[in-house]
Amino acid sequence: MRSDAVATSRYGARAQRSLRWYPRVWRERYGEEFCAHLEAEFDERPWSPRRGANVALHGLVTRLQLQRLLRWTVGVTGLAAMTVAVVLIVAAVLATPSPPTLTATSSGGGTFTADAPGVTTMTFGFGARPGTVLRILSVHVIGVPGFPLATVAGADFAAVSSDVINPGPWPMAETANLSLHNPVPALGRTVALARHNTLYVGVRVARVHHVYPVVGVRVVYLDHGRRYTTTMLNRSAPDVVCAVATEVVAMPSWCTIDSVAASAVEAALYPVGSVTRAEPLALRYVQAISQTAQSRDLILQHPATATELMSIAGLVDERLTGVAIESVSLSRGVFHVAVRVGGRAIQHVCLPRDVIQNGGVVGYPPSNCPPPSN
Amino acid sequence: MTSQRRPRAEVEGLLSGASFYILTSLADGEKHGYALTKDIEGFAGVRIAPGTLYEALARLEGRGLIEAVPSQDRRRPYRLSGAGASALDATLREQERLVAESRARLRRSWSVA
Repeated sequence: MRSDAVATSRYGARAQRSLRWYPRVWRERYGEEFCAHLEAEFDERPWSPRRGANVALHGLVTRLQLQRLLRWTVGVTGLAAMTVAVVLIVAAVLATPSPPTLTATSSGGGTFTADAPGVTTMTFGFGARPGTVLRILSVHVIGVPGFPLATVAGADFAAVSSDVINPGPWPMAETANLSLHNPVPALGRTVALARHNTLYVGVRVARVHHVYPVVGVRVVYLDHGRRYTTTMLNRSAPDVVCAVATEVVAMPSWCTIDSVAASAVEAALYPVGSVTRAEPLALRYVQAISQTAQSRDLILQHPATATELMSIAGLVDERLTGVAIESVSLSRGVFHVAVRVGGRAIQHVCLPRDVIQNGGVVGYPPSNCPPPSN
Repeated sequence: MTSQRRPRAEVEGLLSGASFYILTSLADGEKHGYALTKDIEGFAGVRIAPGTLYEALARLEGRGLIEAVPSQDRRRPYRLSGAGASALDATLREQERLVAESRARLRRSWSVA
């Protein structure tokens, strides 16, 4: 049998946390000895859900007793008051509309050209609870830092998501014989949503020979008089619009390079967790192939043209994008990348090599760098 | 029928559960909280959880049945007070009376000694 005189201090912090269940007056009188008692208990049996529940329960009961609430609540007056309060709370909850759940399903990752200056169309599929009625107030493009930002020329709904596979330039042409294909203006109009919807956004690109990456759109809308904001993101990678002077048959090389650059920079700048994505950004477009421990460059490969190897430092044209890779260093399996955006402060990201080698480029803020792989 | 109806106040003054175990444990000397837990577990086979123990200690101290002993240690010992000894004695007498009553009935109806 253990000696009951042994009370260790390694569980001191944990005991102090348990003490928080109790009111201050009680803690002043019994706190110190109760902590000593708990430390001995923890030392003997570190984990016991039943004990934890016991402490929490008695702490709360003590609080209630001290506030004389326990006696009050079990009385008839207290019971009646509580009943009224519960009814009022339930009524208030029922009267308050819950925000509609909008679930974006757009995959993104496309690169296409558009005449500049001009407007092209992007689609964002999203699900909604049946019966959702809302009014969209505004739609804004979410771009990539360092790249020009496209503006929104308009937004339409189609009643069924499978409509209008290739919507073409904005505004979309209405199809005369199928009413389902008729676009419904989305801005400033109250609409009843279906379970699956498509939002068509007219995106204006202004300057020739510039790329306009679109990570997603931010939508501000009213529902039952309350204002909400939701974000619809391209889940796998940004869509990239290359602004050209005239319609082209082949994708210009600068468009290909800069769209890869936009994906890479976007992936590097977005820390994991800040953007809800189903898969790492640029998964299909950028893969690192740098395998040697001596390498100091983050080498990127376009999977469609496997021989086309590019250093990320040379990939990003600062004159064009305003983004510069200041340095790339490799330490214990993690690339540390310093990125300068628009000549302003340098941002640091780290890219674990094993994640990159598995096919994705995922940037982490330095404070959240994963441990180096062995 | 051999038993008498007991005055309600007297019955309410009796000890039960954790209070009874604590006073019984303190009957042979002062102990701090964890020592009480271990002692009770030893003689009664009952493990009193920390929250329950300190709720009972606070209640018993409030009723004057136990007293905190001044100590330099974080673990403050408790001892049985005179009132506590009387309450424990009254409880034991009541339990002995109930045991005697129970045995008498068993003897009469079931011939169990």
